[in-house]
Amino acid sequence: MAGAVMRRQAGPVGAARGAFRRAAQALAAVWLATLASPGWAQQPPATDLALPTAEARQWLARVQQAARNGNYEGTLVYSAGGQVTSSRVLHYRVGAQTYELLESMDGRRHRIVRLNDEVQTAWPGNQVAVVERRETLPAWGTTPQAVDPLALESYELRHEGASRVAGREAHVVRLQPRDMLRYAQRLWADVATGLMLRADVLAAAADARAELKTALESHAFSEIELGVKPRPEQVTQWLNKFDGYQVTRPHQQRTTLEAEGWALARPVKGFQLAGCLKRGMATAGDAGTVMQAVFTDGLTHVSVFVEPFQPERHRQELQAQRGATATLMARRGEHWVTVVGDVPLPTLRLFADALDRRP
Amino acid sequence: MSPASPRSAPAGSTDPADPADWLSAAVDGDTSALDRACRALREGDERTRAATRGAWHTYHLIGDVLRSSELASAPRRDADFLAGFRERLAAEPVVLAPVAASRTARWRVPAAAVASMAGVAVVAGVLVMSRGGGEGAAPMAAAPVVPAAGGTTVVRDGYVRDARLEEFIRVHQGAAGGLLLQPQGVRQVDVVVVPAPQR
Repeated sequence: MAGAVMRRQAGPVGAARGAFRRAAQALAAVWLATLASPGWAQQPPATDLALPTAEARQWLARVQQAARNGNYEGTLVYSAGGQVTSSRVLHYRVGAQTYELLESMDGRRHRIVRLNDEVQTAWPGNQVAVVERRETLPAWGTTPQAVDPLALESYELRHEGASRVAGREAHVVRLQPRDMLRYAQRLWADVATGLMLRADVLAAAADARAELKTALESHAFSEIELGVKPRPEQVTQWLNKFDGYQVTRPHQQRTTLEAEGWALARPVKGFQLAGCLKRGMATAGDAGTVMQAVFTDGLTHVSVFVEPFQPERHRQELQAQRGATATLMARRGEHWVTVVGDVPLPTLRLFADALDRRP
Repeated sequence: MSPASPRSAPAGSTDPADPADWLSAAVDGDTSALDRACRALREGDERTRAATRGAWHTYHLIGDVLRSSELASAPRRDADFLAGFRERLAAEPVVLAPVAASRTARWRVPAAAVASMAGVAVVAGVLVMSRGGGEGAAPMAAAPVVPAAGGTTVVRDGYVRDARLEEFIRVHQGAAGGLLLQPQGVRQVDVVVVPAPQR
């Protein structure tokens, strides 16, 4: 049967968090660079000027910092493939505590409450919730220098000028991949604070100079207030409010690829192993434990999930694309491999093919 | 029995190859599969026939939804339609072929569109199959979980989706540290079906 391509809708997912955050990491640096080189702030350089690595790194760090330490409330609009959805976002930093609330504003009700590393995801419509601990992988430490220098080995940071987003002045930069294994991203960073106001993931273009026209997906604030007075109670009011809910708490345990009997026989260029977990899946009940290995190129990441092959469950190998996020499922002997990432499908295939059983 | 998912009938799990796969291939133009699909419809045991008919119906429902949400009907209507459809099927030995789609006004999808959709339907679940209907969606929503091959297909709020696939994506995105802003909502999905390995 020939592979057929089509569009279909999927339900609300706690999805694009990663994309925006990665873009935030990237953006972080832009702002610092503005401070570091006054001329830049006053008078943006010529378009498409690739920034020196040190400057680019500072830029990324600043955007990341703004995202982490800022207090802001806004409406974030996600669009991909002609679909547009919006979410309400509250983010407060009080002392060392981070409070975050994300609520879908259209379609199925979906709420994500985060207090530091505790993440509670609820779907009020059908009274289902997942409570989990966000496992902070080494590559995503909480210190400002966590902006992975690795990113600038795989991407070039180019300043593209100035623009406005949500009524605020923004620097526009592009992270141009140095190969075809990843997507380009265009980022809009608030001039005043460095906070990322918009992030687009762009379809890969072979030539760095080629016009990047197609945004696979875009996240943008349509409205935002920065530097607001924190209202953590707005977030904590939802904590553990699960009366009548069916609550799942998937277990998580750190491990290593080797300990699980696996190896990545051929490294994928630019990607490094960030961490490895054994974890339960809410949809699998108690039975299913899945290994998740996360690889990062410093800007985007790829998850490789491995579980025992079950004929009744794993019937169809598939490839799926949702916005910039691609998924590939394939059988590997007695195992079932699922690879997910905001990278082109061939990159996911490299991961799937490189995975080797080392009993 | 749910009209929602071609995978929900257990018949396929006992066969070396799923009749729904044949049907899908048939609609994609594979004539040898067409024979097998038709045979499954005519001569299969009750479960096989139910599964195959369910898949056929689903393909068209998917087509409707994909073309326009206004074409999506409430699950109740689908169930009624399916019941009537089954009666008529029982009354006359209908040979189902792609061109037959245009015979019934209910199936508004041109055969060509169906063809492209059928392949995708094999994935069974990633998509919204019906979201019409408000209260009318109750019969389907009342069935909370429909076990299906290829993942757990769950019916929620009138949506049918592959919960497993969604969870993988959710977990993946959470791994980034999830510091920031996360829009949610209905996403568009492009699905490319890779032919299943020969078993």
